[in-house]
Amino acid sequence: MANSESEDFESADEEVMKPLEYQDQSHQKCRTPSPEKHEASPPRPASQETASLPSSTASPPSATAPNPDSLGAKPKMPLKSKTKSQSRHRHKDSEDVGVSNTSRPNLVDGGQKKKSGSGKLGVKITPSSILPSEIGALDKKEFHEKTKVSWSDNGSADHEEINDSIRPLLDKLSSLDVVDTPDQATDSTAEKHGSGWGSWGQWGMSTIMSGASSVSSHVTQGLSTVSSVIESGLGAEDPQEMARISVETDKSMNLKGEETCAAGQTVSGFNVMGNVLKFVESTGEMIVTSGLNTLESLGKKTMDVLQEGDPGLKKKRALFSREPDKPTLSQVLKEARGRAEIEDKERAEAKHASRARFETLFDDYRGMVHLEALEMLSNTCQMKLEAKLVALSGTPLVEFQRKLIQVKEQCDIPDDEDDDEDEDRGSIEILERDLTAAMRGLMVPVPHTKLIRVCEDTDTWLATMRCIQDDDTQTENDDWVDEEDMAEDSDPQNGLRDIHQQAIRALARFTAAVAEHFHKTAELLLLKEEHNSQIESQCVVMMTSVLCSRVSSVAARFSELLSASANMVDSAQVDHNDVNLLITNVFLEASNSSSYIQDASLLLIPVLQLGAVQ
Amino acid sequence: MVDPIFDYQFRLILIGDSTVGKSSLLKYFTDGKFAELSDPTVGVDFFARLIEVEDGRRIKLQLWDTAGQEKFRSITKSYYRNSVGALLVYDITNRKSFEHIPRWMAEAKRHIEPHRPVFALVGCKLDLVKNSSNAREVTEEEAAEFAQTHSIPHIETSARTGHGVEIAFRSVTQEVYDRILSGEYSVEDGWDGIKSGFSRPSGIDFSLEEAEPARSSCC
Repeated sequence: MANSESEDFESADEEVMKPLEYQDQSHQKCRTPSPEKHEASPPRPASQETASLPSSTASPPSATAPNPDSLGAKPKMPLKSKTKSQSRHRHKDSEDVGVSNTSRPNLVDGGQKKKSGSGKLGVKITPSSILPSEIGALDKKEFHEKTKVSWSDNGSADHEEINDSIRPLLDKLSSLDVVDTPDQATDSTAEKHGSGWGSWGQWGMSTIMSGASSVSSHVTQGLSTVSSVIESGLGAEDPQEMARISVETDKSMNLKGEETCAAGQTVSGFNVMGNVLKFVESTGEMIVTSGLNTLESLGKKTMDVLQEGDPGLKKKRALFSREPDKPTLSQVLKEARGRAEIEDKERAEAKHASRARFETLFDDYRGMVHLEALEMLSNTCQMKLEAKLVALSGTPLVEFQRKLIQVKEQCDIPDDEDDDEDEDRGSIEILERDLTAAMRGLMVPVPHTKLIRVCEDTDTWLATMRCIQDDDTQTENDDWVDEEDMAEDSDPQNGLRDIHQQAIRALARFTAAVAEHFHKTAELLLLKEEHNSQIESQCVVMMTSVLCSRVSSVAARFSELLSASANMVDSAQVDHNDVNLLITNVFLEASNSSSYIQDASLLLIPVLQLGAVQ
Repeated sequence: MVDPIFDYQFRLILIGDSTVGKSSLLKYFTDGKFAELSDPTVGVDFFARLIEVEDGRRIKLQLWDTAGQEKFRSITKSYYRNSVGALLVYDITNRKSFEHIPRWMAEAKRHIEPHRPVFALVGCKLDLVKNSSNAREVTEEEAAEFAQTHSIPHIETSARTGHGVEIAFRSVTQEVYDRILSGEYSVEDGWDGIKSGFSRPSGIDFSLEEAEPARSSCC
């Protein structure tokens, strides 16, 4: 049942969505399907209703004829006669007992729906207060048409009554010179027939009315929902919500479509072809107009939003204008994205570079390769230990394992150093003293001259820098003679970076020297004939801790130098975030350096263990 | 300091009896200097140099200078594994050092396995035999013959004059690189014989690789 009509509805649905310029076409479209229906419809209702409706089957041809003219005439119809005829028809309707009762609630229902629909319109579609009145007018039009058609169709039993009600109308029409033959023809046929059709015709008509009104109310409801959603959406609506609502709207539209079909079917069932045509036409019109109104209000709203803070849309027009020399929006966006990508890359590279500098320098000073060599030695020792372990069993095995664990525990570096002599722990004197003691304890002839030389170089550099700073502060107060010396680095930022670079270099060089020292110690420990693993472990721990102290001391002194230099120069010239970043980086690399040193000492453990079990 | 930009890093190891001149050879190769006196190497020392192979690729050579003393033998064995090439170094004026070469070679082969290292036979102290041929204890012919039987290059060098030093290292480097190109060697995880370096922007590398077959096809 719904299938035959759904296409028509779809066409109407499309028209609602169509922009303004298609309005005229849509009108034509509205009409085109009607003849088809006119031909297609009769057989089906006939089969359904022939028994109950013998007289109605003959009328269709005459029904179609008056349509165009009555369409032209109806706006002139006085309101009074309309209401009058309506009340009469309703009266007739209620008198008629035989006709299906189910259709009546439809009428009432439709009226209610219409009311609620317009009420909703009043609330929801605030910009388009035109809508309710528009719909009202349409309804009236329709009603009138139908009245006329039904009258012309049936030539009813209540001939006189209808004549009464229609006379003023006819008078009006004739006075307008629009009424012509069809009307008169129908008039005569009406008189000829004189059988009880009126109730049927009226029933059909009222069904149409209710159908149409309910359709219109549904449509407007749907539209109001859409528009209200879009209104709020112009703020910031969740797109998913929007999608959901639009789906719902579609659904309700479909429902309405079915209703339309139902209404159309009923009508055709009663063979009131003219009514069908008109109904389709007017419904289409209604949907289009109300749809267009809604679209218009939406468009206005959109323009309002677009023009906010951009009067005349100058900016946006400039942005979108496709002049050949001006870049398009997509180009602008593409370029912006490209720039952002490059910036990100550069930032990452800069970060990587500062991170890699320590590693690179450490590698260049051969720290890495010494560490690798130490690891290889350590692995060899570990393999030897495992080989021995496999060969053992029983008590010797337990003893062997006990020794291994003992050495491992002895090599644990205490977490907290005593802070008492923190100041001195990094000094070269303490370092030299502890290293000498450690080497004596380990009894390996590894010279620590290289380590000490590296430390001395660093200390000398730091001392020189401090002297320059002191000189600077003095000359600044006294006179301007040494200004040139002071302005050695014209850019204070560069001066700070130099200090930072020097700090990283000093740390890398020292760490490399430590790696070499540990490597050589391991090599010579392996050559040693006799071992006292406890003393060896203690010495390794002492050596590790004094070297780590040296690292943190160097880092601290470079950081002091950095902040002192930053404070000396004009604060406007130096970005203090940069200074903090440099200082943080120095400490970061210092901790990196410490972890290398601790790794190296851990690699010594298998070497010491091997010595312990030999 | 070594330029950080290179395509590959090869690890080469120098082996041979003590006092044959391994450290001096390396010092000349990396520093261009000759030290009249040098301390015996303890365990292993390291040198590095950047070198260009025939197609212009930059290779960083990481050179492991092992102690030749017998007492370090147990330690130096640990260092063989991660080498891709080994220079078998003997002293032209020391017959024994040459006679020990097969032993060194066998040891290197055993410890570098499963990898097949690139060898080169390098005779040192050529400057000592230039003036007085009496000093020579190993003839060039017999050394060359040994090299030929093992299909390895043979170079006589002098760390004092620098004669042959560059060629010795270059031949090994080129052979390693050729084996990479032929697919015999590749960068492997857990093996440091060959490492890929801090690569240049990849575009340059691609263009080099693309240009190569075209050039060879037209020649």
